[in-house]
Amino acid sequence: MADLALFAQLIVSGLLSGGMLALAALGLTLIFGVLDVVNFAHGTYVMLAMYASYWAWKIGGIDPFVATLLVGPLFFVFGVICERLVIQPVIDRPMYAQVFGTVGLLWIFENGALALWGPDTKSITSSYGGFSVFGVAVQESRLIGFVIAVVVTGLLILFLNRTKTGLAIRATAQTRELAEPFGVNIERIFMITFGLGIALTGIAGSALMATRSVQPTTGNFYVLLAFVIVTLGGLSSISGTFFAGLFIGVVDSFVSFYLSAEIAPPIYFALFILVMVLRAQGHIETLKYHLASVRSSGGVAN
Amino acid sequence: MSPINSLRFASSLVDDLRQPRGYLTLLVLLVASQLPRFIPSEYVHMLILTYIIGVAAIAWNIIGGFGGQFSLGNSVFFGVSAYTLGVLMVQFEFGFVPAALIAIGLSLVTALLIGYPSFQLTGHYFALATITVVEGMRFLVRYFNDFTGGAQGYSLVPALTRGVTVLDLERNTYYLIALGLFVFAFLVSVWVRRSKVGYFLMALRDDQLAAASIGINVPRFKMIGWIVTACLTALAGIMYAVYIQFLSPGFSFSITQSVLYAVIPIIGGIGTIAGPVIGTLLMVPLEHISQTEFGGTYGAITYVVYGIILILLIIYAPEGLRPKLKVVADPLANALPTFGDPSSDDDPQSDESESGDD
Repeated sequence: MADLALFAQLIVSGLLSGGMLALAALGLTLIFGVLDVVNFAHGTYVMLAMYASYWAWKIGGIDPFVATLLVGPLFFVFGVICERLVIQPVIDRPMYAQVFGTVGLLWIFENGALALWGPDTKSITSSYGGFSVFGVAVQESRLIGFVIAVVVTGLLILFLNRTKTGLAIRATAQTRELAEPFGVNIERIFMITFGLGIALTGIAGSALMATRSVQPTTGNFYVLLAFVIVTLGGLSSISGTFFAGLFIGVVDSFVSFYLSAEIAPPIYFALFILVMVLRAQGHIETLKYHLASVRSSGGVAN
Repeated sequence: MSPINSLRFASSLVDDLRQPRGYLTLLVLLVASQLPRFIPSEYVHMLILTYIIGVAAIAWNIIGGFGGQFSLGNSVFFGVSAYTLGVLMVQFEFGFVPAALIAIGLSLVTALLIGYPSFQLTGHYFALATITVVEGMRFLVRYFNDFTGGAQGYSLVPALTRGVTVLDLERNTYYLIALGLFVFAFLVSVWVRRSKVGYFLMALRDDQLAAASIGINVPRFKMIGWIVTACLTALAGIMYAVYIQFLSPGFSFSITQSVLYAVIPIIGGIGTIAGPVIGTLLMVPLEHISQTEFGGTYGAITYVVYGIILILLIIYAPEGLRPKLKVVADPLANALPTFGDPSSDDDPQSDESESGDD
C-alpha cells in the first residue's frame, strides 16, 4: 500500500508541476504554429517574467499569482515591440535569419539580466502551505499554479475558437497565403499572435516564481523544455501542448525520484530528438492516419 | 584527399602567396607569432583563448557556412574531447598523444551519433536537435560525477604533477601552439572551400533537392562536413584542456559558447573563408578586455551589444562585416604588386579574400 501511495504522490506532483511546464510552453506553440518561427528567446522571456514577478514581490509585496495579472499585459506590449523590431523584418527571410534574430534577443535578455541583476539565484518566500488528500501531499502553490495553467489554456482555446481574431489567427496558421485574400491582415495577426504568445509566457514565468528560483541562465532550461513539450504535443496543437506538459511533468517526477534529477533532462531530450526524427520520416503522420481510419471505421460500425 | 589533390591544393596556396592577400596574410602571421615579446602576459593569455575560440568558429563555418546546416551544438565536440583528454590523462595515466587521439576519435564517434539522426532534420529542427544535445551532455557530466567531477569541475593538475610535459609549457609556447592550430583550422577551411567537398556542401546548402538530382550524395557530404567540423572543434577542446587545465560542465557544454561559435562567423561573414577569422579577432578580444578591465558585468554588456549587432546585421546586412572591411582592404590589395608569373589570373574568387586578418 505504501508503494501505491508513493505512486499516487509522484503522479500528483508530476501532474501539478507539468501543468505549469505546459503553460510555459504554450506561447512557443502559438508563435510556432502561426508565424512558423522557432523562438529561441522563448526561455529568456520566461526568465524575465520570473524576475518581474520577483521584483513585484520584493518591492510591492505582490503575490506571484496576483502578479500574473500585471506581467501578462505588460509582456503583451513587450512582445508586440519585439515583433515589430526583430521578428517582422526577418519573417520572410531564410530560416537562419529567424533563428539568429531570436538568438540575438536571447543574448540581449540573458546578458542584460546578468548585467542588471547579477548571477545570484533569486527566490521568494511564499506563505503557501500544503494539505493532504488520501495520504497524498499537495502543495497549495503548485495547485494554484496548475489551476491557472488549466484556466489560461481553456481561455486561449475559447479565444481561438470563438472570436473573430481567433478565427483569423487559426486561418493564418493553416494557410497563410489563403488567409490574406480573405481579408486577414497577416502583419497585424503576426503582431497580435507574438504579443499573445509572450503574454502567455509572462503569465507562466510570473506564476513559476511561486515555486521555483531564477537566475539569468534559467531561460536555457525553459526554452529547451518548451521545445520538448511543443514537439511531443504535435508542434502546433494547444491541447497537445498541455497534455505533453503533463506527461513531461510526470516523467520528470518519476525519473527524479527513482534515478536522479540530473538524468531526467537527457532522457526527455533523447525522446524529443526521436520524436522529431520519426516526424521527419513521416512515421507520425502514418500513425495518425491509421488511428484516424480505425476511429472512423469504428464510427461507421456504430 | 588523394596525393594529386593535395599537391594541387599546395600549389594553389603557393599561387596565393604571390598575390597581395596571400603575402599580406603571411606577413600578419609573422607579426602575430612575435607578438608575445611585445605585449603583456595577460594579453598573450587573451590571444590564446581567442585562437581557441577562433578554431571552433572556423569549424562551425564549414558545416554552417558552407553546408548551411545551422548547428547550435558544436560545444559538444569541444566538451567531449576536453573531458576525454582530461579523464584519460588523470584517471588512466595516459600520455598526451594517445589521449588526444582517443579524444578526437570519440568526438568523431559523437559526431556520427548526433549526425545520423539529426541530419534527417532540416532547418530549425536541426538547430533544435543539436542545441538539446549540449544541454543533455551538461546534465550527463553532472550525473556521472565519479568520472567527471560533476558540477565542481575537473582538474588536470594531477597529470601535471605526474610530469606530463604538454601541461608544463611556457605561456609563449602555448601561444605559438594555439596560433598554429588557428592557422591549421584556417588552411582546412581553405581546403574545404576549394575541394569537391566544399562545392558539394555549398550546392546542397543552396538547394538540397537540386544537389541530390545532379548526383551529389547529400547525406554523405553533410556527414563529411560535419566530421571535419567536429574534429576541428575537438582540437580546440584539447587545446583548451591542456592550456587551462581545468574543465567545468558549465563552460565545456555551454549553450552560450555553442551559440557563440555560430554567431562569430555570422557577424564576420557567413560561408566565407575570412568571415570567422574577422569575427573572432573583433569579438573575442573586445569581450575579454571589457570583462577584465571593467569587471564581470561589462562582459555581459558586451554580449548585449553583440546581440544588437547580430540582429542589425541579420536585418540590414546578412553578409556580415566582411564586405565592409573589403572597402578598405581591396584598394590596398590592388595597390600592391603580384609576384611571379602573371598567368595566375584565373582565380577570380574574390569572395575568398583573406584580407583584414588582424
